[in-house]
Amino acid sequence: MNGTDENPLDLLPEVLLAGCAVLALLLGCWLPRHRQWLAGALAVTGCAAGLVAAAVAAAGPTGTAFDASYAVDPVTSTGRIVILGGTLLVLLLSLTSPWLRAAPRETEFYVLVLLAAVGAVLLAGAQDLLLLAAGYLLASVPAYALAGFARDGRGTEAALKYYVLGALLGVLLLTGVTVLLAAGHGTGYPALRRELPDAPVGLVITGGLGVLAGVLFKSGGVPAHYWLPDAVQGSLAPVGAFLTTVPKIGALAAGYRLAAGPLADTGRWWPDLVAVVAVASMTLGNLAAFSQRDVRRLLAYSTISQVGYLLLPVAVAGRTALDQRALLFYLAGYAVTNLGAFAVVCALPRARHLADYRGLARERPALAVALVVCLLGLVGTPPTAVFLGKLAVFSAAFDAGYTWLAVVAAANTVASLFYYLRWIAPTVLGTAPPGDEDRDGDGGRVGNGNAGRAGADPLAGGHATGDATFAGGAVLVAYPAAAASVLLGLLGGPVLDLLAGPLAG
Amino acid sequence: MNAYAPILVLGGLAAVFAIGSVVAAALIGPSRYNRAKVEAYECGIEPTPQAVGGGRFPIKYYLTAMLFIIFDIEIIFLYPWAVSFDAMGLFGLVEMLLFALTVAVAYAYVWRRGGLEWD
Repeated sequence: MNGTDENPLDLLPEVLLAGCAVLALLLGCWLPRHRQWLAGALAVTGCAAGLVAAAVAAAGPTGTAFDASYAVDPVTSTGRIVILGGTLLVLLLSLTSPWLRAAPRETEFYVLVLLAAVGAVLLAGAQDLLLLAAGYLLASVPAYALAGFARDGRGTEAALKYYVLGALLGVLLLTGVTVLLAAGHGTGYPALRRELPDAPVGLVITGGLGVLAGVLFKSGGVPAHYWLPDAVQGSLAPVGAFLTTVPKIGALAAGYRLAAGPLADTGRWWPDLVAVVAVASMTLGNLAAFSQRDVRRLLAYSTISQVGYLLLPVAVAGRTALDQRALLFYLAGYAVTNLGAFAVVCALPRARHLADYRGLARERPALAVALVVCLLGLVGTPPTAVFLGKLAVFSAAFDAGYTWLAVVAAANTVASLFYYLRWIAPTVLGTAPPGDEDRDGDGGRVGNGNAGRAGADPLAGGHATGDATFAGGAVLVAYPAAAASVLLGLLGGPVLDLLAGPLAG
Repeated sequence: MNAYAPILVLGGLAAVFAIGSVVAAALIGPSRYNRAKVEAYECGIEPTPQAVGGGRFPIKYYLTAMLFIIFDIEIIFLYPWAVSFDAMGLFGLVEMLLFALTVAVAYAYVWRRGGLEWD
């Protein structure tokens, strides 16, 4: 408590988000049902204001806040901007979702999204293990409620799986924090960085493993990924978009900060361990994605494999000069591309299976173009942002002496093309059949969205009710996200240079 | 490392006991089945017949208990603040007011959404 850096303005984006969440909650309590969207508008305003504040802070000096427990540096700034931008897109997807606009608890949805976003930002900026644990809880607890928001059977299953695994790995995280406190005599990263190299190796590795478990849960990496496919498939489409994007950004930034700070000088166990986890994540994610027929499940496994690539710079953090900008650029590119793909899924609420997308290019050419751009973007096709991100990540691994890691990741990228093509092919080549689609053997997981309406065309024009086949508002997110994915790739060079810069503390 | 050796030993003993009990029961225990073994374990209380109303609690009890926890958490944070009020000064006062206000918002929400009504 030295009182020198307790300036609440350092946390202006976070304060704006949290303040808007509280205000929206109050607003929703007194607004009549048909004006609940005002709470959503307030949430969007808060996000936009937070984005401006984050951009201003990004241009300002690097430093720490609140007794050096929170860093304001390029990692935090990029994390803030990408998280707030992603949250903004998810809020727009929610505000244009006919189901949600008719839901009796509409306000609560926006509030929960804002609170989970604050938690993700705190994860990205935390420079103290205790703040990391608090951020983990704040990012998790609202997300559990979001996963079960529809209050149906699948939503309950999603929320329960998410919650039980989150509780287990949260305990592991807290255990790791406790052990690192015992080993390093403190929880602040600068102090830990001084102390941990001389601490008993067994304690450091045990503590590091526990903290890594928490990071892997929030980012959805193997072996803490079990909840992700069920949570994404069982919850609402905007929730799936949120869960696969926003918490990952905070968690991977937190992982990077841990690797580049307290655990940097503690030996080669961290890069080797994270490299193995990364390989497992990208390989298992890809292998499982091959056989998926449900588009949300396919996207969920695709994000698991993407986390594998994103873990590369976390593994080699501090061993090359390319790590930080590679991670941050990939995060930004991945967020916008993944949200674009989910926006297309949100636009077609009844098209839950790959076969349902047959003939999309004929019926809705613009939407099909957005989908194809985003899917090819996720593969890493030039000139999209993810291509440049992957290139930067592979170079970082190569530069740090992990050639085998870069080679395995490149091989996985080529393999991943196959399952994205399984989605692209019916979209572009197929014609929509007049009758029922053949959905042979869905592995017992037939989507409940259209199961009762076999024969209805999932791509046909609809009306603005909770039962719509086309939620037109979602294209407001799909087109800009697809465009941004390409634009970010074209402007890659200057953006990459912006993301370099020393960590605070 | 020596300072932590007792903790490791304790953890090892706990693991050996837990795993050992399960393994030993499976290996040396006689496996004779009777009705009591498939019934729900209720600390010696007969699980059936149940009390009036099915022996279940209304879910409202849990809601009330969770609302109480909000107060509980508030008090947990208020005590250390009250003890070290002198050291924290105006900054601490403002922080605590903001905290209490946020907790009050939670109660306003519960009240408006009907969480305080029993029926």
